[in-house]
Amino acid sequence: MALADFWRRPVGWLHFITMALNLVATAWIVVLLIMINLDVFSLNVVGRPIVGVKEAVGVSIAGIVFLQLAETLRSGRHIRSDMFLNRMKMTRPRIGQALEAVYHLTGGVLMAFIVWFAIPIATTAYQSSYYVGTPGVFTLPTWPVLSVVVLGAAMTMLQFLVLAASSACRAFGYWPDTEDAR
Amino acid sequence: MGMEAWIGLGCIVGCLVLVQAGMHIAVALMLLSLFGVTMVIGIEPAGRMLASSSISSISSYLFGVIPLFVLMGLVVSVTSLGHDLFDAAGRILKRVRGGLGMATVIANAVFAACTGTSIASASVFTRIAVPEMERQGHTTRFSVGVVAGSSILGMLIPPSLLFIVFGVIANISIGALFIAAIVPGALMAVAFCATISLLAAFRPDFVFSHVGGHGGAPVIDDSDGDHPSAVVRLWQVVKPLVPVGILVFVVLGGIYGGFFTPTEAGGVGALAAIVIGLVRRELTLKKIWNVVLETGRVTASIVFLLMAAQIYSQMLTLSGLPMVLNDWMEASGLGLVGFLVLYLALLILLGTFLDSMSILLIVVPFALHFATGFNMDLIWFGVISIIAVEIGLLTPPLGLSCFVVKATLNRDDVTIRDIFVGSFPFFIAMVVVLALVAAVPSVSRLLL
Repeated sequence: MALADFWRRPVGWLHFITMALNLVATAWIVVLLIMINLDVFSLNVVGRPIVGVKEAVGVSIAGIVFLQLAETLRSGRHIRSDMFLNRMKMTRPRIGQALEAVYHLTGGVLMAFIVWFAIPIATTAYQSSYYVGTPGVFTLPTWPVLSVVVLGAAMTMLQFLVLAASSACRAFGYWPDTEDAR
Repeated sequence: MGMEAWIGLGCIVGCLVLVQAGMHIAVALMLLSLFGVTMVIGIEPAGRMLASSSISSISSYLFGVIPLFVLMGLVVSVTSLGHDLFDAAGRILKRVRGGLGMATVIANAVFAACTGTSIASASVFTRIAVPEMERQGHTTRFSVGVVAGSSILGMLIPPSLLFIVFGVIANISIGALFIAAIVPGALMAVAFCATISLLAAFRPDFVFSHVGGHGGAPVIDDSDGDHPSAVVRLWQVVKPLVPVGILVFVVLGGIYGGFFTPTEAGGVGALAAIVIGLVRRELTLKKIWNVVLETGRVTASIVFLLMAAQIYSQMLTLSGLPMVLNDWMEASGLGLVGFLVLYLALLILLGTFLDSMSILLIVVPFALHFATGFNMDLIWFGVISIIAVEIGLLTPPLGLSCFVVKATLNRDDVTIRDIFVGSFPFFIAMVVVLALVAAVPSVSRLLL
């Protein structure tokens, strides 16, 4: 199948990248856990919190979430109520798949919006050296995490578009091998 | 009613339709909010608002609470702590009629103090409690009903993801919400036990599968051969409860005593759960990694929703719809009580076909305008909103807890209808407790 071969490689790359981002996010959660416990320990034993933990935790959540967003989408874990859609896919598979394609396409377009408008936010943060925290005590530049947000949103956009394309294929009667096509 | 208010109203209705049609909830909220904001102020500022609110709404220390409590709950779910709880509660209640059902409720209530989702409670206790209850002569309907019913305690008794989400949307203290939920949560557990007791007395055919069944707890442990002293026996009952006790003490005690912020309590609780799991040799590094991976997914899906909720509530404010409806409500002469009854009925109605999280996200940003207009106590308002939303976990056609029980049990002889019928008495109990907490706001203020 020429079409399937043409399709498989970029999808494979996307899969690889989302898994890598996912690994980083998972490790980041472990770091977050350790950071907070060290902070609590330090506050209760030494009597003062560790400088910068609050800022780092705040920044971390955005990072973790956007790194994980694409993989969460791929594994079908974003919250939705799928009773109607599942019934549709069973009784009228083509209409069900067409709807699915439209939903995923919508998600892709929204993510494109976020990427488009988040890029200037990230570049401004870099050029003007925006930071969080208190100057003189602890500051953390915001551009690294904003770049992660842009990257994660872009990957999520691609994942949405891949899902939309594979649903569209099915709606038109072409059923690619399920696992590869995602 | 101006043009903008109509747009706002259209967006809410559109959201309900799209979510029901199977669109991802976050996507539906973002799409219609973007549309609504675009209609009012144009596409360029709308896009900028979407991007910046997605980023800024989550760059806060507070949000650390989500992955940490999710992690703690998942760790506790993969250990056998739930089993120990059920055993211990069963031993204590073995002489009581319907005691095994009550043991399930109480074990669930304590388990709920370590986890934040009802799904975790439902799946863990389906595996532990349903076979044991059936073995001891309870009907299948009653067994699955008790598990589905008591699983709602998972999100009522703190830590609870729904309260975290409510706190974020309403911008009120999550710690205060957690503490306010303790008494209503305990009250719900008591109401469930009373329901079981009443059923066992007046509808024994619903509870017991044959006449001989008495519903006491496992009798296996009585036959230890020699008769140990009272102290030893007490220790046998208490010992398995120590690890759970530590977790509950760290989390609730830490928050209540003011030692920890909710984020810190989540962090310490998650670490403590991991240490307990490791000490009991129930966790391997591989298991821990998988649990953390799952934590990331749950966190991403919830925070994605919260990002969408942020732009949605900005859209509502821009549309001016809440103000219009406020005027309308004042003109209609519908007082505080009328509003509350309407609001709670709406939540329960939506709960029949939407999941708890989406109802909170769609309705609360909007209802808050009224609640503040009526000068309500927002913490109490949160507690009653969440009880009302959770009732939907047990109602057909889309009672999530019942579906989780069905999926976990995976048995052809148990239909989803059996589970809905079995949990119906608990649905009634929830409505009664909801009415009580709504009528007596001080119930949620007892510990604050």
